[in-house]
Amino acid sequence: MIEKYSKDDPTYQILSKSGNPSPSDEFTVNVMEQIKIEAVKKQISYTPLINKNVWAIIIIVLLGITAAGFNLDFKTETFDMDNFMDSVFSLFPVIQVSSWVGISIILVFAAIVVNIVIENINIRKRRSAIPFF
Amino acid sequence: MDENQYIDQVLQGNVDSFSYFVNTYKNMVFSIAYRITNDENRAEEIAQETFIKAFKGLGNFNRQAKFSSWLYRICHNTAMSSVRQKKHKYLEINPDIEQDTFSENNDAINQLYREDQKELINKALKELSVNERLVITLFYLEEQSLDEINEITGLTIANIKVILHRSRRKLHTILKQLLSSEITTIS
Repeated sequence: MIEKYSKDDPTYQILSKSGNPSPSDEFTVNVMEQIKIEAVKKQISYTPLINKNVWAIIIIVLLGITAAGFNLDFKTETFDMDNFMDSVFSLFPVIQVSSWVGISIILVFAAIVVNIVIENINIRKRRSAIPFF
Repeated sequence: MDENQYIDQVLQGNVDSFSYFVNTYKNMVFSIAYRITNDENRAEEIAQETFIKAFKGLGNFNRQAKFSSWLYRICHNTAMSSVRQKKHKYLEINPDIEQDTFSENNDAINQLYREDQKELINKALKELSVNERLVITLFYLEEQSLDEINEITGLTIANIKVILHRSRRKLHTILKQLLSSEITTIS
């Protein structure tokens, strides 16, 4: 079996007369226009300001705060509706939080602010990388 | 500047550098798409799609591999999925043909005008299956090695050899039939 054909090979000689198909003259221009559109699409694609990990931390901390605020006893096996409602109403007049709950709240807000700042810096970097068309 | 430098430039945001790849590989990409689809308009669309896919996936391109093979593979896959819906019924060919017929066909084709030669050969090529047409043209016209054809099509080397052997015989059988009807028409 041939690994490389010879120029005398009749199959080569016949096929070489078939003419080589080529794309239209505007092909490169058309492709580059599409590529530039794709490049812009790539840059302006939506990126959330608060990512999933931060949302998970926020939810965990909020649940912690809620549990601490309601003073829930997780060992209780029965659920008393009256006690639960009392806990809810007692939360509104004066919310007393322990120091660790206070620190948690500050950390959550700090995480949100840091995340927003980082995302903004990244967006500015990506925008500056878009070439001028 | 080598291809890796162009890739770096594109990845850094210099989109215009991608035109190097379009200009360098457009003919080959178009040719692969055309041999698979048999349709110039569709081939052009597939070639465009190939370059857009390559641009989008450039960040994932493995620098150890050959850029051209990676690009041709994208084109092959895009074109194959495009023709998968459209089935063509190929001629039933018995490829039992004497080796001498190859040269006889060549001599007979030489008697024709250039445009008629082109038309006749392309008509014969269209009667080959997609893989047969692609393999025979990649090998003879695009001067790709068996290894390169393997990278582009994903066919095994042994399979490529079988297809190449079968497609040559089929092509000459079809050409012989077409030439005899051509002679009948003239006389």
